[in-house]
Amino acid sequence: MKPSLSSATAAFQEEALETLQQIEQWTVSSLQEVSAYNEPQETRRLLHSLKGTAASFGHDVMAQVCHAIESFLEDKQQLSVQDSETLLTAIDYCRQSLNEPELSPQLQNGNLADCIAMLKSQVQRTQEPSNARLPQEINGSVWQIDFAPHRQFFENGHDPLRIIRALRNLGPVKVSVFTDKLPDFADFDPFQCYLRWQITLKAELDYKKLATQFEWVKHLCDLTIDLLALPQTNRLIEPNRYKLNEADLDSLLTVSQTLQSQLYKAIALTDQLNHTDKVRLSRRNHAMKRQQQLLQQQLLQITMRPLADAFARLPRMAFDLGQKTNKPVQLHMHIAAIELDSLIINSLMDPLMHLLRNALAHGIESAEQRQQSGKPVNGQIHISAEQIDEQLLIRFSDDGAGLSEQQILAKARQMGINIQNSIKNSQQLSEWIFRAGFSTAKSADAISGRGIGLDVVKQHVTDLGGSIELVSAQGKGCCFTMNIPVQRSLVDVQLVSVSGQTVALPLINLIDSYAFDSNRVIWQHGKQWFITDDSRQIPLFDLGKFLQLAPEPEDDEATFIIVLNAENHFFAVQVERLAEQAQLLIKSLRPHYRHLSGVKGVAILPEGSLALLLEPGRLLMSFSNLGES
Amino acid sequence: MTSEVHLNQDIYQLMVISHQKFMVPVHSIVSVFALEDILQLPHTPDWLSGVAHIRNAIVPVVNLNELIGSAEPAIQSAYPLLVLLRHPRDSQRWLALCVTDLSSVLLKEDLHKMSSSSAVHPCLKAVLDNHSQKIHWLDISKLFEQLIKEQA
Repeated sequence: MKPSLSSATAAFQEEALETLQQIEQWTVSSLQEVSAYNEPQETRRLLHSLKGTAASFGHDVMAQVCHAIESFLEDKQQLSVQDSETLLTAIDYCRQSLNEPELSPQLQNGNLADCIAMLKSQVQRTQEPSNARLPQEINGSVWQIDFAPHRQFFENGHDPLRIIRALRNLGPVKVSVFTDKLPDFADFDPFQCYLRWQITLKAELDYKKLATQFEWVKHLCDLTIDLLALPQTNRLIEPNRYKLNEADLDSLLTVSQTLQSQLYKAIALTDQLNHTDKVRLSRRNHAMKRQQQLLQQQLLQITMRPLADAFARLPRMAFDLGQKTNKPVQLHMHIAAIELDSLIINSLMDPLMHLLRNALAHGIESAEQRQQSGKPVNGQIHISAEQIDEQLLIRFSDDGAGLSEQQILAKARQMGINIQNSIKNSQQLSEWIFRAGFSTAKSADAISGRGIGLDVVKQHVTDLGGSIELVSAQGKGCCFTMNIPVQRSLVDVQLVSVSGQTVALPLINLIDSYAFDSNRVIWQHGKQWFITDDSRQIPLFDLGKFLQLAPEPEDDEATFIIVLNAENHFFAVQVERLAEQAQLLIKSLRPHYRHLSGVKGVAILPEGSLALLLEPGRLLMSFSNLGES
Repeated sequence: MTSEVHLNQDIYQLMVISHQKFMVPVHSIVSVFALEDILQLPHTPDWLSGVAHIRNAIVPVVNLNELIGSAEPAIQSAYPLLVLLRHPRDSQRWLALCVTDLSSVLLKEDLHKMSSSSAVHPCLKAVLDNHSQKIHWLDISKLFEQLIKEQA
């Protein structure tokens, strides 16, 4: 079935909005200390691509604005605040033209003229249309080269075939030769070049390296090098072209699991067949099972999103609110490069924006007040996010005015809270702040009202099974700490076998592993076993005992020792077999069951079965407890 | 629609676990699976058979006979039936029961005719007598509470 034009237009609109967001992120990040956003050349590439797509879809307004932005950015290495403002206004204009196509042509044209004039006035010089040349440092994996030698190409002994052979050394090439300029035989001069070539090269390299192949002949040919595909690593961070909602994904995963279950049942039936049919069916089943496993893994990967997505809107918001409130802020974001369940990512966006709005409206002081207090003129907002064990830890702090204890107590009295019987410690004050309707702001404002929203923030976080705490110091600022349980994550693991059961260990904690042999001394002190490893005495624990597994018949020849590091405490465990290392999807036992000490979660193995992912830090504590008991 | 929901609440599914009979409201059953892969968890009570990967979630699998302390041992066949139940007030929380067989459904009218006695376990609402056969009426909320209680 062919997609309808309206669905194609909708897809264009969605992609265009995503591209605009990426350009916006780059614009804002050039002013803020924000990591993991596009490089300038990538932004220019996005812009150029958007211009082309917009023109293809008849969106001339956007194509013209993109062209003006390209000209605006040409040769700009660094954006000033004014540049950023101009650029953001142009991006907003593009968004508006996408979202409000019903605007009258006169109004659109008027707005367009204003937008382009604004960009041009910022440049303060007339720009020639950009040739959209590729930046020298851009990387790619598939290239299209149009190579048209001039007639006199052969005069100095140059050979086009030598260049094509050199390209072939870089990677597979597909060559098309064009003979349209070939004259009649009577006019043919064997010393002149009449041919031109189009070469598609599949090789991961940068533009500069590719262009070097033509260095000696560049004055003797017309050469165009176009990038057809980014390197695989870059493609991975490209925005998704196809969207699936969570319900669709869950349905697909359920289908995959049902398929898996049916396959297992089919395999069980093979026992009833004769030998030849059994072998044939087993082969078919094996192939189908492999496909099902791949499907399952791919689907599980799709449900994950980069943690940075939850914070992507904040830099622009900080910039805009800073301008609006006349309180310039410096945003410092340090977000771990991990992927988490898209449910967490989506649920975090609103609370984070609430916190930022509150910080700008009620926390950060005016520039004059800050100067009087000896603070930097720009308000400082620090945001960090990382995963620690099964928890996502987010810290959001500002160096603003902080909360006044007196004001909180006064407000608590006003709300009828019995403060006489309450212990007025920082924890209690923090709890009051998160109550609905609790605000110490003297007046409401257009940005965050009266500071309402902290109860909503808390609700969002508790809905995720997490907690939020506030520490505030008057005159110094506020720090919100959020702990959110991570129910799904991707973790690099070492798979091992213990008493016949597969167990996963986080690769990050693994220090060493070796076959058990007599070179290392194992000795006992009291009830505790130790192994001497590089002159270190490392406690050796029985993993099978922790897992409550019946011991397998002893076979020391086939066992391995794994040395683990849990917060600089080394310990070793003995396992029967070292299996492969893999990046696996880990699911928490919660919300359906409780957290188990020593168990980080459940790993979904490639064949669809489950394995416990152990948590070395807690495991060590559990071993100690087991030893004591 | 309202009447349908109301009607659903009046229909119960009879489940056989070993030779014990249990009933749950039909609307609380999400699905029934034949699943062989249950991962045992260390340091958990005996009535928790382990966890299974069902519908994209890690779901605790409960052995009811062990939980209510039935004298009859549970049969752990190689391919037990797993009945996936949802929490009455939170559709996102699930648990699974190891079940030997699913037999008939019971209507509210039939249940009224049966004599009942008080339950022997907090996770049971009552025990009904159907022609001298005991049917344990499962309190699903309490069963979910039991899982949470283990956190203490």
